[in-house]
Amino acid sequence: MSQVQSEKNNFKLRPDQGFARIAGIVAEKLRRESGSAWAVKPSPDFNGSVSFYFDRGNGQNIIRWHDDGAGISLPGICGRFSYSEVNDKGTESLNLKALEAVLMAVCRNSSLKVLAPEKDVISTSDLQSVMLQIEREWLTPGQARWFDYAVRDVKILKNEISFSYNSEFAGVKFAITQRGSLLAADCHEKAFCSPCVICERGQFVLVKTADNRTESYCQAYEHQVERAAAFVFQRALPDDSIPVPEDDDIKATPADELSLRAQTAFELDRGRSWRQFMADSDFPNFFSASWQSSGKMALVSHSDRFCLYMRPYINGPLTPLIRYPWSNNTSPGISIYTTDLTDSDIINDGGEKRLSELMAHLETTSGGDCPIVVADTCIPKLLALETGNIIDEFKQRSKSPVLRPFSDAAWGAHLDGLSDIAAEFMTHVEARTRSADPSINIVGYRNGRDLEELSSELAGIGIRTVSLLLPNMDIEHVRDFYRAWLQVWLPSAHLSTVYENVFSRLNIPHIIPNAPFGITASWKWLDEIAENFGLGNAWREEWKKRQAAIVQELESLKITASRITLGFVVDGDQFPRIISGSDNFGLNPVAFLKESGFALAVYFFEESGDGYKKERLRASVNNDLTGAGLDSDAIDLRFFSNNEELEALLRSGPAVAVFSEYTGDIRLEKAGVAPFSLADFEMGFAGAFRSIRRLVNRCSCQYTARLGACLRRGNK
Amino acid sequence: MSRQDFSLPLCLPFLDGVYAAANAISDVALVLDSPSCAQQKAERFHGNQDWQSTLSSVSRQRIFHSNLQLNSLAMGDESNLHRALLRADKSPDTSAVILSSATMTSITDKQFDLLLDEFSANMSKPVFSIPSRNLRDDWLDGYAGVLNLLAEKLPLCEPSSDRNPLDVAVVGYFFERNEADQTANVAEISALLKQVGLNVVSFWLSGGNLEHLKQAGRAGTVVSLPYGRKAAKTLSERSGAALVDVELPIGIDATAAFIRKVASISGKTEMAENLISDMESLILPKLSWPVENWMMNRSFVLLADPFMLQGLTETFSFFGAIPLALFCNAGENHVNEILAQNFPLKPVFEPGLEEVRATLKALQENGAPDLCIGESVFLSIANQLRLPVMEIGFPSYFTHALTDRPFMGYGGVSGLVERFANALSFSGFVNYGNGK
Repeated sequence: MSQVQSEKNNFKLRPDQGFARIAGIVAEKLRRESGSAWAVKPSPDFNGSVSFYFDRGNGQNIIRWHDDGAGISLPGICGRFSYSEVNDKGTESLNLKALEAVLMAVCRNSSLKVLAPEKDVISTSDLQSVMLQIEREWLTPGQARWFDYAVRDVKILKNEISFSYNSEFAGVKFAITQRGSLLAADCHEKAFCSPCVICERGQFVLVKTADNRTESYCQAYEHQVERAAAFVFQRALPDDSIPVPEDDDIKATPADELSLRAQTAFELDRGRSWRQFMADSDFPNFFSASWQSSGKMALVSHSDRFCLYMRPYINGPLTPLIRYPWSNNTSPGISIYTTDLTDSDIINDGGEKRLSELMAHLETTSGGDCPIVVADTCIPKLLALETGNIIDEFKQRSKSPVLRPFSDAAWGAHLDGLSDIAAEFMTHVEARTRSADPSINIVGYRNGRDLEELSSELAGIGIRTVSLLLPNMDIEHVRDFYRAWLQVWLPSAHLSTVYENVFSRLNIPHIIPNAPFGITASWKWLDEIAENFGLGNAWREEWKKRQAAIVQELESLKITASRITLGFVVDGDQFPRIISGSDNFGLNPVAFLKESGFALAVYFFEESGDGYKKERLRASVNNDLTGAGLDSDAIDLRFFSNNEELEALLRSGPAVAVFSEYTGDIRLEKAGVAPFSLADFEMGFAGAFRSIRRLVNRCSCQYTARLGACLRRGNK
Repeated sequence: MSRQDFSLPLCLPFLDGVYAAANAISDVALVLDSPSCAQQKAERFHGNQDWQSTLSSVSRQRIFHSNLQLNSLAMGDESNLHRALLRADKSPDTSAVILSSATMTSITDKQFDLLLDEFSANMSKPVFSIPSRNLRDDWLDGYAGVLNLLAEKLPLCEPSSDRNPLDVAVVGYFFERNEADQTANVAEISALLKQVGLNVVSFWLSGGNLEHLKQAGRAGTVVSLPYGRKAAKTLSERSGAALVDVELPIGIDATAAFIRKVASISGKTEMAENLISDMESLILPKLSWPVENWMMNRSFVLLADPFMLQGLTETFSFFGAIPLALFCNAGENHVNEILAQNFPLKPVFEPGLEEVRATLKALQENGAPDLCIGESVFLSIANQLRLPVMEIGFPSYFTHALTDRPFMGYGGVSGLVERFANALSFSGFVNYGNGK
């Protein structure tokens, strides 16, 4: 049972503004869809108070939203209005859950589904509020003054969590019991998803349950529950009884990774941004948004100009703030169409006419079977503009494949819908006769000169590359997919979901060889693929002819590289990234650089500066290196515990170039050291040599050191 | 009016103007109540439109967003916005915060002023709020809106003694980036003013900080430029300074008109005429070769904002080039009757990308135009059609200025002729190499 005590809140909503406007639009929509019964009735009292009704006309289930201008009656930080339902039992207050359901139902389905107030079940939003508070406390202990709470009781079951506690947030005191069974076991229909505002990592999913309840949770929720439990237990126990993990010095817990690695160096006030050189929080968004088409495609943006122009749609090379491993520019083959919604479009018919006209226009202009991707954006989602029928009708009469990868997405999800996009595309796989030749589909690999060279290597021993997908999404490559006998996937944590949800379900076996970065890895990659077709001997014969020349070139480059030290700045949880390929789009940086002859330094954050801890860390690092098949003395390990020490290391440490995924990294510029990133590395034999030369040149460039000297003199 | 080709409209939205203004004031933080794609928009400025931008770089972030989600908007949960404001407040090297929003907040009419009343109690820096209002406001509205907001709300310096009409504040310049084409324009305009006896105490906007903008309170005269007419009027009403409207000094005649108008403030009309005469004598003889060989009877298609469109068209026409089509990447509402009458051809406002492409293709089939001039998206169409291009205006992603390259004032006259002639000359060289 939720108990709420709140202080008065004087927030007022003018009746001609805010939700009244939404209410008018929604009511009009309801009226058109279900006859004339629905109406919106603004309160006659315009003096600081507003009520309006969605009235189905039969005196039953009238939903009334009102702000009495005096108080909040809802728990937690979400409450701003009070809500009540007028029904056959009289007037009952709605809890947050019911309100959420109303809003979502209105927004999504245009058919109001009123849930009975469930007074015994606290809303998931409430729980999220609590989680959010815990998250804040966890990440920024200095903000304890913001809120304080005393947990009375915590029960954690497999799929259920319950809390009781007294709390104060931003001056609002409340006592609350939280209980929720929130996992997706009873998920009946996925409604939409968006990035989770709590962990900023997982997908936030709204589901309808089999009994037509609406629940929401973060896919990373299990971690949230574990973290909350761990945190609460730690707070509840005396300090000396908190168990200290013995071997947790290097590897963060999965829960820690969720929050810590999600930080970006752009966020100044967040805990570790000053030592963040890896753009882990940005890569997933980028990767999901970076799908491209080597063929023609029409992208329909059902949007206003704000959404339309969030990305610069331009056929030309633009420079991102993050050093991505490959270009994220708009593909030249994509034509952009937009409904370009105006206020009057929305007021008149929610933009449906514009979308209908646009689709009709496409029918006459797109021609052939050029795929059409239809993307709903923020405004249509906010106002529940129903577009499904228009698109479905178009699908029936169009020759073009019509894809709606974002149809169930919420805001921001257009950055996270790679799995949906791929799934939509792969529905167009056609049953085709397998090639008579050994043939493969390459999935997850960036398309470029290096991959072309590798494909050429494969062709030399009789293996043909049929389709190249992800980030490429060319419909012709999709259609040809079943011509190949084998899928070759890039080992990548970023792609694991799309592999699992889409490509593993296609009836073609797959292998995930280590990505061909470096001479040894390239050899093994080719060898593994060749072996799958019984062509291992053919490849090894080919290798014998070329081995001497390749080894000679490598040895020559190693002489230069051995005079250069390259560096990484890491926290414990980031260290695995530099010795594993799966988090680097296939590149194992340490393995590649050691093979290439470079000396390596790792600047490792250790907050306490304690000598004993450092020795333990050093031993753990050596273990990890050995475990990854590398020499335990492969790197020069240095520790820092604060920004000043890091600056000194950057300036005077052994590394003349340091890994950074942020363009224009002033920290490196000031230190006079060069940046390098995944973008510098290429696959294959020739690609490896180009990569080494590129890195050597970066480190030899005189500008870098001179710039550092200037900046330190304060000349900028 | 709704476009019927449904292609990309060549007109940037409101928020781009807000970003441009924030980019042009060195010490403001910009907070967007917006989904995370606000960060993507920052990329367009930082390092693409502006190589010298300080909006969004490691350890120097001036842009913050609330990661707005459907749930939080529907539920009135402003905690993320509050958090973004606090982060902006703590940002070093900034002295004020501009709060703006994505258009979806205009649908819900979120009450930013009321929210700020609540949030600003624990903030140390002033917050100026300029939320999106409707879906069709464009980038010129956004830029002008920020200027007017500052004109209304920014605390102003007072003159130490009586207000001197010769101390002028220039208000309404579109400082599209912190590069040397823009700083050179500011220098050109300031020099023209100085040469007729005026002293520039503040220049809105010019890449300076808020302290520089506050100096406008000392001005005895506000010189109003087209990108901030309302702000100039507000400022003049607030401070009691005189108000003088001028047009952009782009081209020979517009520069002369600018000088004559501002000279009326100081009364140095004879000096102005001498200046015009001297500068024309100095500049024009140097242009005869490029004009004769690369401008006379050369045709061009131009896309720019209405004020640049007028200035550039007049400039190139003055030297014998012939406009074939004019496009304007902003709403027609920005054009008054006088300006509308000055266009030699009726411009197409907010054209769709396909409309522009069709026009260029049709002209190309008749052997023209010789040169396409304008901003980046427009030129990407021309480039696809293999037409020669000259990039100028907002945005310019592919042409940058590390050394002074003005296009206003007398320096700008030479600069524009140089750019026009170079573009055509180099294009001729490339085509020659390709056997055309």
